[in-house]
Amino acid sequence: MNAEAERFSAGSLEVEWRADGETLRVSWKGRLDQVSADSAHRCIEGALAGARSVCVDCEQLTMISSLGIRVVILLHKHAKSRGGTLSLISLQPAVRDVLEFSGINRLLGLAGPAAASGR
Amino acid sequence: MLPASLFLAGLAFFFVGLEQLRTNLKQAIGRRFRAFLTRWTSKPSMSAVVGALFGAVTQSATAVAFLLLGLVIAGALPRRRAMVAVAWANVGTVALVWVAAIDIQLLIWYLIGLSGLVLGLGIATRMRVHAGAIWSVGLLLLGLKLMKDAAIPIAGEPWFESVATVMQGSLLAAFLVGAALRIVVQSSAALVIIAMTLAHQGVISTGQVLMVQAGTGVGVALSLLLLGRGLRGEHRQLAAFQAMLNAAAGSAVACAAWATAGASWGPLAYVVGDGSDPQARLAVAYLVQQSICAVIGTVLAGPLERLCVRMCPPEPDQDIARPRYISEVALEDPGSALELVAREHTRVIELLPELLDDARQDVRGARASRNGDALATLLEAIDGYMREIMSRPLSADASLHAVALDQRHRALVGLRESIMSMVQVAREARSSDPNGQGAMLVDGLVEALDGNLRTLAEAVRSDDDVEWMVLKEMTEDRGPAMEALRSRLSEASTRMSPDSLRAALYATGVFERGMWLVRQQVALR
Repeated sequence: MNAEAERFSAGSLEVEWRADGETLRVSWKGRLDQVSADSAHRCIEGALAGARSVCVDCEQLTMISSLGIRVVILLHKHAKSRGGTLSLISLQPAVRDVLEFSGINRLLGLAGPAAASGR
Repeated sequence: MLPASLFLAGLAFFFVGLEQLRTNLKQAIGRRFRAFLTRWTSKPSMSAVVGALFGAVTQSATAVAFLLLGLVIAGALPRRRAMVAVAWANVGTVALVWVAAIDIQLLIWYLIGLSGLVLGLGIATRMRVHAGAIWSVGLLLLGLKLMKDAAIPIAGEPWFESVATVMQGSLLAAFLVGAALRIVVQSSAALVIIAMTLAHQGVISTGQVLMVQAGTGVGVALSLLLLGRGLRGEHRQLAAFQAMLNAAAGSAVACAAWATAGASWGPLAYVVGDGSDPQARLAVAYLVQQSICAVIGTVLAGPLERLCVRMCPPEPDQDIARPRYISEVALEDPGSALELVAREHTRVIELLPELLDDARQDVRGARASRNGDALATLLEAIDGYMREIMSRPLSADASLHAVALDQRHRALVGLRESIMSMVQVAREARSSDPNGQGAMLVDGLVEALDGNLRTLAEAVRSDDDVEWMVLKEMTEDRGPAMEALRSRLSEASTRMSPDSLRAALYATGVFERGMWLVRQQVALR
């Protein structure tokens, strides 16, 4: 993220985001849990309006809860409605497990830590 | 000691009969009876009549309170109307005292003889529950008669004379004995009858019987206070209401008796009278005391209801158990009734994720089972309602709708069971190895299942096609994913405790079933 990035702290989660052309690049650090999930979505709502695709860096995301899955679904629906895509990159194994168990991996591209270097 | 043993046997017959009667009544009360009850309690005056009749049959206003509570929680009976019925159930309990005052030996033999033959010879099996209820009434009355017969020579027993000596002439002692015994013996009417029998034999005075009777009012309140410690929400509200009524009525009679003691008027003067037929006078006094309960409960139903609700606010799980949409009235139009079932199903789907909240570390276990049980109660109520709809003539469209709803209902019942299993296995995994790999994987499965349940709830609530499509994709066959997870667990088995491994493996099966049942909801859209 460059200096133009905006930040928001939602309890156990820190959110950073910046527009990169038609793509909104987001970074989640900490826990996307029952407490932080709602704020995590609301804080980027304004920035989402101008974005077609969304790319979320999950390198420092340590946990994702059911409400976090709902945030991912909302981002997916937004990108799909604009003809774009949602991708989650640099997923930690525990987070990746939850997303794969939930079946949401069928809808979007998931990339592990190795993919992060190429972003 | 023959009289004492006869008295004991009579007491046993009485309580066994009472207990069996309550059990038989519970079995006899089916859905149709509940519907009848809902209709008949639609007016306050009829609530009073129904309450009095139930009080007469069950011989316990508290039992009536718990019987009607099922209807209150099911949303079929307003709480205030139930309170009026409970208030008048106290009057109904007087019937036993009146029955005891007349010779009913012949009636007892017929009741026991005829119902016993039906039960013993296995004839008229459809009437078995009703015959059981009649048999119980026979036993109850036989118990009363044995107690009366036994009391005749008991008066001459030395131990009884000492009891009489302790209570000799003391109205306060009689009041306290009545209150204390009522806590042990769960029937005011039975205590009053026993006291009347003792007075008949001259063991205690007629005035003391009146005070025993007044004491039972306070005893009911004390008994409910003790029982009420284990009750919550609406159960506690009705118990508090019943306690307040009885304490007020018992205290009123006792105060009136003390205040007018020695005077030529007042309760004591009335029951002593000219010495003729004291049993009938005591029965009238008992009727007056129970009527005070009824009058207070009817006139002050509103303020008392508000007070009870403030003292004992409803519990969240009781709100879950209460259907919000289905109603007996709508049954007249099966099409509308089916729509109400669909709305109730939507509510169930929205409640399901709350159950999984209990699988997380920061939630105490007791709430989990309470919410799960409450949802099971709600599902049972919906099931009974659907059976009632299906027993009526339906159009072709309505029949198809009913079948689809029935399938959805079965899937929801299974889903609730799967969620409860998941809650259980999450706790087991955490207790066997809190920070181990097994517990972490089970936590992940919990979040994944919850994510799907919340997506299902959102899809049902919004009926958004995209949301349904997302859910359809997510719930595709989870078999291969779970098989891969089981292989991972197998490879890691040497680093896991046996309990943790077992819990994690079991969780994969529960999760797979849960996801399949969510998928069923998509298919039945």
